[in-house]
Amino acid sequence: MKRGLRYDFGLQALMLIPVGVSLNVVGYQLCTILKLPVFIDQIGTYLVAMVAGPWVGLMTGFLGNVVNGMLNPVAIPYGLVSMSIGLFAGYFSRFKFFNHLIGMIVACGVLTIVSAGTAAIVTVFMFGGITGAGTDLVTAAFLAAGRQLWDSVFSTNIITGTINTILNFAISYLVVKRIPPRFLVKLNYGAPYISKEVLKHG
Amino acid sequence: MGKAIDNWYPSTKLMIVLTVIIISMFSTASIVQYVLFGLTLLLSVCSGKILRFLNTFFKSIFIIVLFIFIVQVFIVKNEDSRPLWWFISYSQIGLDTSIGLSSRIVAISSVIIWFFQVTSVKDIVAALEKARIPKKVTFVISATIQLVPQMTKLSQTISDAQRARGIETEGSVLVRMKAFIPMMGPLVLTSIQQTDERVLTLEARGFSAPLKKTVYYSLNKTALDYVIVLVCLVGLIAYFVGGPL
Repeated sequence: MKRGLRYDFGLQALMLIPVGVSLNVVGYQLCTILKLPVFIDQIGTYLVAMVAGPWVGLMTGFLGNVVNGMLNPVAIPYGLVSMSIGLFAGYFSRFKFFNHLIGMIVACGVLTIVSAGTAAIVTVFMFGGITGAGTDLVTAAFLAAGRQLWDSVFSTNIITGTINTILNFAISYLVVKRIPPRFLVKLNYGAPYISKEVLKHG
Repeated sequence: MGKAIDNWYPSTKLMIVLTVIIISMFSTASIVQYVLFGLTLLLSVCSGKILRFLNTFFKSIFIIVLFIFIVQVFIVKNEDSRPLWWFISYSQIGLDTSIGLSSRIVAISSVIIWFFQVTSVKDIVAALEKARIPKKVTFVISATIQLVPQMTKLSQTISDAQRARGIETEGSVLVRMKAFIPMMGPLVLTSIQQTDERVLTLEARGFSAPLKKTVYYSLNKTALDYVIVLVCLVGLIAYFVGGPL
């Protein structure tokens, strides 16, 4: 099967983008309803990136933040974070990192560092180290302890980002595993998630 | 008057947004950005959306600006920091940085808020189609915006149904965490099923056919649109020729 920027945007993959974006929004709403202390707002990005590839994942992340940006423009620059998550998760899925435990751990580590790095860049350059959320308290604590701004923001993002990345990834992985094979086969990157049993009978 | 601004062509409004963003990115005097913020306020008064504008503004931007002031002035350590109490200190450099940063954020984000309040998605999509953007792109944009409220509704239905089956949504963090999967799973699977149907529907109606399609809804530029774009361009040129403030 041909893969790459030119071949990934089939109609089936294209229809997944709105689904992914709305999953991000719904995930965030569920978090607020259940009063969870974490932000599970990237499930859709992970899910789409895993089954439809890096470029579709990137588009999902970007569109999701633009939709949020219609109500809160602060979300638009953070599209960079979602885009990098989509891109990296897609490439990890392409090179079959998600088929074994070691690959998953490596992927989660890299994704945490990438998302913390991009989030830190956006936060420092656009907003002077502030996000307007509760995690600012952690940043302020690091600053009060005498650390530099860059250092504080990056450390905050690593701390809060690790748990977020793992949860987002774990939930979307569990959900991907439940997607029926007849749908997965139609997608360019869905094959690794079809269980061996099904293939044997086919 | 309100209707008049709503009927401006989307790219005209985008031109205003771009002009404001470019000028406020390049200018170093924060007075320029506050003038632009005033202009945006004036625009939203003219479009009759001032209450909604202020509501969104205070919910999102105001909080972040407040936090920036607190952290930059009182907590970040600068050369001229004078200790006040424990870890809190006052610094003039911090105050200047925060004014510079926040004025830019206020100017840029307020004009973006205004843009999305006076431009309907239908208009944006129609304008994109007219600009020969591929049908695939415009369809994804409009589908996304329509699907978000639908999925929100669906997730409410699902969580009600699961609650009726005895899923615990109150209690310790772990209990609430466990409630997440049974709420998310059916939502994803249902929506993926719908995707399949949607693809069939679109194909049956010739979505991928390599032909030029006719449209029901069309927008037209008026003379006023050209005048506004021209004013924006002249303003930009004057700003860069006259030397950035």
